[in-house]
Amino acid sequence: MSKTDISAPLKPAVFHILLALADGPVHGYAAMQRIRERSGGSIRLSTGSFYRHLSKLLDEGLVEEAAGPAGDDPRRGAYYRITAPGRQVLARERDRLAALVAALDALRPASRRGRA
Amino acid sequence: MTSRADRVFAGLLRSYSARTRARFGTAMHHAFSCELDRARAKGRRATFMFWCVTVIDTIRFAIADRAGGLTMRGMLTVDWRDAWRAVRAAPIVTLFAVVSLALGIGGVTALFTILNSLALKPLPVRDPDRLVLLGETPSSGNPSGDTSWTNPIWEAVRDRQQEFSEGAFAWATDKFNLSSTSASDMVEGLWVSGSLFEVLGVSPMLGRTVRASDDVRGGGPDGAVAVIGYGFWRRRFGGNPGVIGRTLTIERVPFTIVGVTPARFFGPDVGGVFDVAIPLGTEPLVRPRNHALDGRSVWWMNIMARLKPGVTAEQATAQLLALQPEIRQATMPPGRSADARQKYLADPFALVASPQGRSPLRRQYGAPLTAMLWVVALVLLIACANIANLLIARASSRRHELTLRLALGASRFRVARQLLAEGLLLAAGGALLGAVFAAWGSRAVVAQLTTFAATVRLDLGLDWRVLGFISGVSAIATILFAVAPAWGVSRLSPMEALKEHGRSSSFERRGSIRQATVVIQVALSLTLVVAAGLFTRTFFALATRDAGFTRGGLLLVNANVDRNPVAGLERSALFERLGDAARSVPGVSAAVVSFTTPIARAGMNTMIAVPPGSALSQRERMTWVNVLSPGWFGTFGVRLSAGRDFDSRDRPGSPGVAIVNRTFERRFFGGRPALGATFTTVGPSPGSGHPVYEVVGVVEDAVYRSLRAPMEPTVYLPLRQWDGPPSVATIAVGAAAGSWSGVAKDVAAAIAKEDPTAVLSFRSLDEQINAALTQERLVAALAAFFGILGLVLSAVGLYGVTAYAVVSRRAEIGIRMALGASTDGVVRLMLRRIAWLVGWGVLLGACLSAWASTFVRTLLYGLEPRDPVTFAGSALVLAAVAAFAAWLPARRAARIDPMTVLRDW
Repeated sequence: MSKTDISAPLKPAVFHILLALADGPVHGYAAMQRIRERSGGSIRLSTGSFYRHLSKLLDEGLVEEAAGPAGDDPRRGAYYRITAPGRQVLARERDRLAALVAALDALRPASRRGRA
Repeated sequence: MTSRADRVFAGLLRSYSARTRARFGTAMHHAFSCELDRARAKGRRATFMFWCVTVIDTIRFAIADRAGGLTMRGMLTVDWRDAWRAVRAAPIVTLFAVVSLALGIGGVTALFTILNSLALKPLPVRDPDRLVLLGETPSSGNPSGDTSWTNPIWEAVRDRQQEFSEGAFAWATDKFNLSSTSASDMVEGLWVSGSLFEVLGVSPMLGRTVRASDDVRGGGPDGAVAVIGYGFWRRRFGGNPGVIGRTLTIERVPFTIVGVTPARFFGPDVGGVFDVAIPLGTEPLVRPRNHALDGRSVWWMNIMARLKPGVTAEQATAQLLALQPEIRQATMPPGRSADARQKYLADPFALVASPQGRSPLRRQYGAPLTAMLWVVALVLLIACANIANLLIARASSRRHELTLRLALGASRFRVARQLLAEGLLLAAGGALLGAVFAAWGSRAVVAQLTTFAATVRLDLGLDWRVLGFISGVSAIATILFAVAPAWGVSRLSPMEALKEHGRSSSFERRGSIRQATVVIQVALSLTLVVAAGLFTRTFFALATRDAGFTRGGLLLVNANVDRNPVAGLERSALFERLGDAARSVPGVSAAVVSFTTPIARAGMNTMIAVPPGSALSQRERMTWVNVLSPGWFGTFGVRLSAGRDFDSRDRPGSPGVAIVNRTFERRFFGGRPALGATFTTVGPSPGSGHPVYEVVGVVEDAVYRSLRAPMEPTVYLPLRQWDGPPSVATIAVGAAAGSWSGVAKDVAAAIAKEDPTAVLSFRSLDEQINAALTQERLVAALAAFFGILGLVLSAVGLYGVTAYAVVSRRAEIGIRMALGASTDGVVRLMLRRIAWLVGWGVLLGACLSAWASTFVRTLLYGLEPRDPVTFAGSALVLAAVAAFAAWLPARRAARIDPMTVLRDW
């Protein structure tokens, strides 16, 4: 079983699943919906692919099952929430992206000058 | 509540491992239900796409799930590279497999493409689901939309359309002559009611469409207007947008072009594309002397309506039936008997859901094309059996490598997948090439359908149905030919790799799969050969049928004298003069005039009066009628068996005379000679006002309208005595030199000199007959082509199986020969088993053909579906081909050198 490598960039699907679960416990379909909305429809995980990633994240302990609200429709299946290691992965990804953005920002004046 | 969709998805879910199902099954089902609801809300296409995605998604991730650690990507790269290598290693085998698959897949897809555009594709208009055709419910059977209506009926329906529909329209197809000289320039014409474009929801690409205000007798405020089709606009006007406002001469009447319709709109009839559409109300301008707008017995148009939202066709029919008495009462055709009047009033209207529009072609070609689809499917099955054989043979030769892989720790799943990947590569190649072949083939077939009488054009573009079909067919083919070798892997044991090497008996035990494929191939190809035999014999029976007249050699000139004010007997005389004018042209050997010609579409019939107590039914009392000038029988080669031809004695005022055919004589005179006897007709007498006709001649039977129909009673009447001729007659011209190609122009000029208003169109008698045989010719050609293809593929299969048997029994043969077996004995040994398999195949094939051929009974002529000659002949052909295919490799067995074999052993 390959581990989600936390030093390299996260796969977009993994990143978005973690992000969707970071807001609080949700059931699977709601998470898929959140991903679709948040990415403006550009990321559409199929059911099969979503649960495959989710299964890996569960195995790696980045995500865990959580109790749903009382009286919820049992057909929706289990609720999931992000774990502390999961949050760490997200935070690291945030730092990585921030570093990239900073690096790009540093370039910007130069490129403007170049164009002028 | 579990719907069918839920059950299907529950089934799909089972492909996941138990662990995944326990963990996520419920949630996945929930996600599926929500997504399905979303897709359904978007429409049928979205639902279909959603199902496709769901099935593919489930299979893909279920494989990944069950394969454990293997990632999809690893699977894709490793397997494909190996598979590609294997496929490339035997280029001839690969080429053969891909091409035979492509022909099979391409063939079925080509036919499906045509059937799709003919019968499945909805009209490219707004909301085609709400369109209904006005038809009738026959006393037995379902409502049918294949009914023509009169203009008075359309006007009665039009005035009441709001009571049962959102809107209704009528149309009729026709040929329009755009020429202003006597030569003709025919285009596909469409008569439309003012509401057609609006109700269909077709907006113009340029200008405007025909409106209700244009559809007024004699033309609306803008005068006579015309809308032209996109193709015509591009062809004739080079796509010039300045075409609006220009004048178009239709039947020598100026029309103003007011608009161009978009490219995708071809008209309400599927199978043709209209060039010019003009309002029904302008018909009196085009046919000033005999327009059909008030004709209560001129059945020439079709009527369609758009249902109100939420109303079903049944509900709308009920609303229409309430209006039926007033509509029928107001439009009663004249000259009907009391019975016929009652029937007319009672025949119930019906609105038939017609999202695919109307198509006369659909009725004509639906059954033959479907039959051909099955024929090609058989070819595809044979091709699959061949490829399965090839792949098994290849897997057998790689048995050592495969068992070694198992021994080294590869999972069976992985090795089997390897073989499946090879099959998939072949299938993908076959499908791609097949798509090209289908695109070409469907166009070629449709091109064959066009005759002088009807230009057939179909939108053969790819749509989701065709793509779904070709993927489905390819997937099924892959399963058929790739699973057997992959399944063989499950029987391999890693231990074998260590035990033997080099000399293995067979990949699968005793070659049972390969033997089964031989039997199946032979059975399928026998069915194909039988089909080819039945259809080609039908075609030749029709093409060579003694039609009673001489085929070929005549030029048929249709003369329309509608613009000439003469009528009645004067018009008959005018036709005679036109015939004389044609005869005076140098090089013309004969020119005769008649109301219709054999196997033309026009026909006229009447009922013969019989003595009371006659056993003849109403239908049997009907006879065909043709009206013609003297010399017609000689020109058409119809033999006069008694009496005389018409001549100058038969003129207006002289006693009414007739010539009848043999069948007429038999039916109405009961075996007594008809010559000199008289007969009368029921109702208005055809051809002349004479109440009594004297038979002055009897001719041999000749086909009147259909080559398929048996000979029917026919009466011939003299043209000179005809007081009510229509405006069109045919002049048949024979050329002295045998070819009239140089004469046609002179004939046109001579006729134009006699009557400058006459509008002429030309065709040959051969063209007319060929057009009538289009369907049979096409079916025979397709059946023969695929029959031969199937035979070749089977022969290749047999060759392969025998050759393989020879190679695998090489040692045994060598020993037998060393022990004194003769060459013949070895060949016999090799052929004996094949002969058994072929025998079983022929038996199975005969049963299959006997069962399948009954479905094509209506397509046959002159022979029974289980025609013994065809069956026996096909079996012989197949046996001969099989014997040859097996003999080639068997002969090689006899050339095996025993010494070499024994040394190697």
